Amino acid sequence: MSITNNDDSRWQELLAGNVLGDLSPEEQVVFEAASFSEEDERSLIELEQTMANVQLAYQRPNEPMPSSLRAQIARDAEKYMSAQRDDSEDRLVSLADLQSSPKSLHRREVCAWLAFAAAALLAIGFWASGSSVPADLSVAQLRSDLINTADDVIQVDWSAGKHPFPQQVQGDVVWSNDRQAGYMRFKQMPVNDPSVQQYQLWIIDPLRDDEPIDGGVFDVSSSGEVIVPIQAKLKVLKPAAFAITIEKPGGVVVSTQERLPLLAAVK
Amino acid sequence: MAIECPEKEDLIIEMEPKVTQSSPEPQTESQAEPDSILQRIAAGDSGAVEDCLQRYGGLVWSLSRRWLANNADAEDASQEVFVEIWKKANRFDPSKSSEAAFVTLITRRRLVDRLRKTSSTANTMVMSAIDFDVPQEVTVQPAELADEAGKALRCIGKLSSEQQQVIQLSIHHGCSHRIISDRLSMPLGTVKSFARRALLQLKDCMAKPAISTTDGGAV
Repeated sequence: MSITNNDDSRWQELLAGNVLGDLSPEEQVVFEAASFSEEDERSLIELEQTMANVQLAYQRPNEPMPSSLRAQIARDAEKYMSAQRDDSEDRLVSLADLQSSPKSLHRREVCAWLAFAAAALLAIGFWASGSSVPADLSVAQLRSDLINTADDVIQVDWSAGKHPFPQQVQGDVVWSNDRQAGYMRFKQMPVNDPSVQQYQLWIIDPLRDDEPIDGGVFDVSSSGEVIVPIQAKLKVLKPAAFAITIEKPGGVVVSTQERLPLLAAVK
Repeated sequence: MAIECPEKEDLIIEMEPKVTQSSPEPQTESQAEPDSILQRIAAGDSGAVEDCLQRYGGLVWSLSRRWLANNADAEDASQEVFVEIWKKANRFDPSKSSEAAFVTLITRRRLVDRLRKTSSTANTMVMSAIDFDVPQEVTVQPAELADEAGKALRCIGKLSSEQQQVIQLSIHHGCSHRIISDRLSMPLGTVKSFARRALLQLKDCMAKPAISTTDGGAV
């Protein structure tokens, strides 16, 4: 099946199907491989808002929330808001790691980037590549080609994140905005058991939004050099940092930020 | 998971949303922009939490109960939804949507996420295991019917009856297209096509400005 953005009617139906959650596996592949214009992204948001309003339109008188649940939620809220007041400093990543970026992140954006990840992500759809790509020639060559031929390539080394691995992991991220393509390279990255946990890349792009862009879920099956293509689900405008989190199989929509071993801040 | 999907004959009961149920000039959230609940929460006003639960607790709970199998799941989901609301309150833009729509959108996303993770269960459910929810009325509480929802109601009325049925089962009841196909005796591909085109039509319809009538209505 081949659907292009120019095939507007079918493309629009694909966008609607994604919002409705009814894409077939084949359509999902096409959807994930497509590049999204700003108009497409706006359309996805409008479709979701339409769905929410249709939901409201059909809503009948509401059943009261159980008082015990309501009390629990109120307690949770108090804890959350209290934590928010106290927890701005080291919520996700050290600001020092990010201040070096040309357009330093506002603290609110840093704190928000993972916690607020769901909006665009759910509009696009939840995906998990499950790819485990050893450093074979083809991927390595593609990476080299990108470095050699793209004029705007950025290359950033991985550094320890908020929760570093026991051993030092080396490697880097290369990314081209023009090509909207990039690769992660790791050396001595701990091998993960995909049935237990997976790695997930997030691209912090405050110029675009204070939400991070999902860069894909991936596995590492070799402790040697591993190269993983970046699968940005939305157009990246100006990445300020790349971060790796460890998540449950399949990845997450909103990360709890409990394990963030690697960070690459763009200088 | 027990998605409550009414039979086709029961569905007809709410195929004609009563637009007149909405207030001619419903209070929009944008009119209360400076003091909106979500904006107060975003500003760290802990007192707004109770207001938020008072206004939207029933909405979140009702949606969760309709979509999920049991009270325990619905309680978990409701807690997750409100955590999301606290986190995303600063993203609420009254110029783009009502608070009710914003809360509904967050709730839907969270519920869809939960359903996706248990989709295998949903797909293998035997039909007899599904509890049917036969709506007795289509009354929409005016306080919860924001401008956009009222407009959605009018736009729904412009869809074909088949599209209305599919949209109602899909969006309102959270039924999978396979279940809708069984319910309506409609090929799965047709259900998909109807749902997608209906949603696109609704989006286009809602993008058009409403024309007020002299009696306070809108077309």
